[in-house]
Amino acid sequence: MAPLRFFLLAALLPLFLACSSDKDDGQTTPAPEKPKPYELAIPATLPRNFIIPADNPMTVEGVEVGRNLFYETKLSRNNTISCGSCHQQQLAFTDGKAFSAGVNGAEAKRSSMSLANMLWFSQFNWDGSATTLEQQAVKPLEDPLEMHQPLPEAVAKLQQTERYPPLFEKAFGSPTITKENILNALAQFQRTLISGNSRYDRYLQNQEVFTPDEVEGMVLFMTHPDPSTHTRGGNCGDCHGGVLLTTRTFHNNGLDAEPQDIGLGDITGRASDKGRFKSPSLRNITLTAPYMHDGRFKTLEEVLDHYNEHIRFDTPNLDPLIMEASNMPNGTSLGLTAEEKRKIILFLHTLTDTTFINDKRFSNPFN
Amino acid sequence: MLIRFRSAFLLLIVLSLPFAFSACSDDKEKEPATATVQVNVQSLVDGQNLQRDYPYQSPAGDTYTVQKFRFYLSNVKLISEDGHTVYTEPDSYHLITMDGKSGFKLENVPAARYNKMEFAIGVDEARNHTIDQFGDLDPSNDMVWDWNTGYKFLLLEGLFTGDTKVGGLVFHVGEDSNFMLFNMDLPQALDLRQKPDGNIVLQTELSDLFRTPHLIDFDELNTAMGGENARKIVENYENGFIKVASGN
Repeated sequence: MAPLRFFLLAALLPLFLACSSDKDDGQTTPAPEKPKPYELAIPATLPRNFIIPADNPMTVEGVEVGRNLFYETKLSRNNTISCGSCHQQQLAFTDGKAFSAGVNGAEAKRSSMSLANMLWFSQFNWDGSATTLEQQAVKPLEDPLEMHQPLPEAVAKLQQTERYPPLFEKAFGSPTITKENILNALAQFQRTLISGNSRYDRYLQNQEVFTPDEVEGMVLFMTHPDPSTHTRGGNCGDCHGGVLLTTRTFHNNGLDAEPQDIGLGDITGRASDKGRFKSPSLRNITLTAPYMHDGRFKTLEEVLDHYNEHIRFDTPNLDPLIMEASNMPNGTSLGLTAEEKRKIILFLHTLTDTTFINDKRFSNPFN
Repeated sequence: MLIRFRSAFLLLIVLSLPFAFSACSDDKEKEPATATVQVNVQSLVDGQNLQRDYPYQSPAGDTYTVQKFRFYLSNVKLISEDGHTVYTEPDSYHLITMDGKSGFKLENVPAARYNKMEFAIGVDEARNHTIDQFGDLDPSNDMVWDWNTGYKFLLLEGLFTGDTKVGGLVFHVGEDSNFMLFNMDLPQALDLRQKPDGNIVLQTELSDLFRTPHLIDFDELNTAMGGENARKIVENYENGFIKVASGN
């Protein structure tokens, strides 16, 4: 409804503006204060293509509600955990665990994902099961393995507090809390979590010098190997390329011959999607261990070893980009040297953004 | 935020314009006659719409499926019959994808009778090596290699079963030397002097990417990342891979 209302308003305004005599009596009574538009500052190296849903415009007050809710333990069934429990700022909004801990010792199905730069995504979770941030939050909030509290109960709990009704009124015009406004506020806050000040970002802007090893690691990272042209490559950029350090696409990266968790395949029902998971952004990758949807690799070295030596070629739907990636003519593995792997990991270290993990605006307001 | 408010203001201004002119003044400017032309691109295999994961037969007799197919259509121009009017689309870069964008609008096309169309596959050298770009050239769009080599101009990924091998198809064509311009006659002239909109349909035929002059046998050539292999694909562009199917 919001866009329609907005459109009507916009259409009517000129009627009054076009021919009015520009007189101002200066006697207007102060209208109830409107929420202030939140101005997103997009770092120079990040894309300009993003969409804010028309029915959830970002406001300073809305983001503030979202930040409070993000760290609010009342959103869990037994008031013990918040979104921030599994998405900790110091770990680029992950939790360092293979499987996140839900209420009462429950364990989530997959590893917690970083929330950096969600502004640019349109498919969320490892399996792409949510298509808006507003919709995404429902699952962790209500899932018995996670926060395990139906949204109507969350609404009732928050309504009884002294803190929230006035915050919601400022942001959404009414002290009556709704589940839509809880989800809208959480989404608004998450859209502010922008990471674009790593050494790599400064390097791209010629404000930072890389060592020769880091440069070599970067080139290897971005390059698909092609023995026919003597081009050596680490083949990472095929799925983690571009300034977001992800192509935002879904791939089967050869972890298991018979994947128990089939990822995207469960969502689309397509046999060819079996075993595909989102390629996550590698920004802040040094902070987001353990790796993969099930956290099976503890270190970046283990990850590189997997891609270089342990790909399961018998998995269904192994990605063609992995199948056809070798540094040797007719090679059956990636074939990077230990030295090349080391340099790629050096490059991965340049993707850590300490400004992001220390930004007070993203921190827990209850501390 | 930026986007919403900027567009809100724009909307306001745009919506105000008719009132500003019609309500308070009666000097109606006679606008120069222009038209809008919708360009649609159909991706075909053997004349049928390209479908993901569907088994096709290649000209060399291999079976293959397609998971991803996308390319840059750029530098679009329309040229009038008398050669006097040339319409050049500003900022003309369109990432055509099998499951996303398949068309675009040419705006403010001068009224004339057009019988030729010019376009390119790829990104011209001037725009191929910078990162600070918007729209379809936004570097977050899955078509960038790295900042030295620029964009992938055409990308095809899938699987194949050949005579001796089973594997993946990974064709990433890029590099400045593989930027290719096409100048084509419209099947019938597009006369925009009498009507405000026109339509042009372009078709790509995937089979022709693998046919002439280089018959691509996937057992021997199933990946291209620039160099000689990519060049073969580019040289095949000119034999039916892309054509103007209709214009009216």
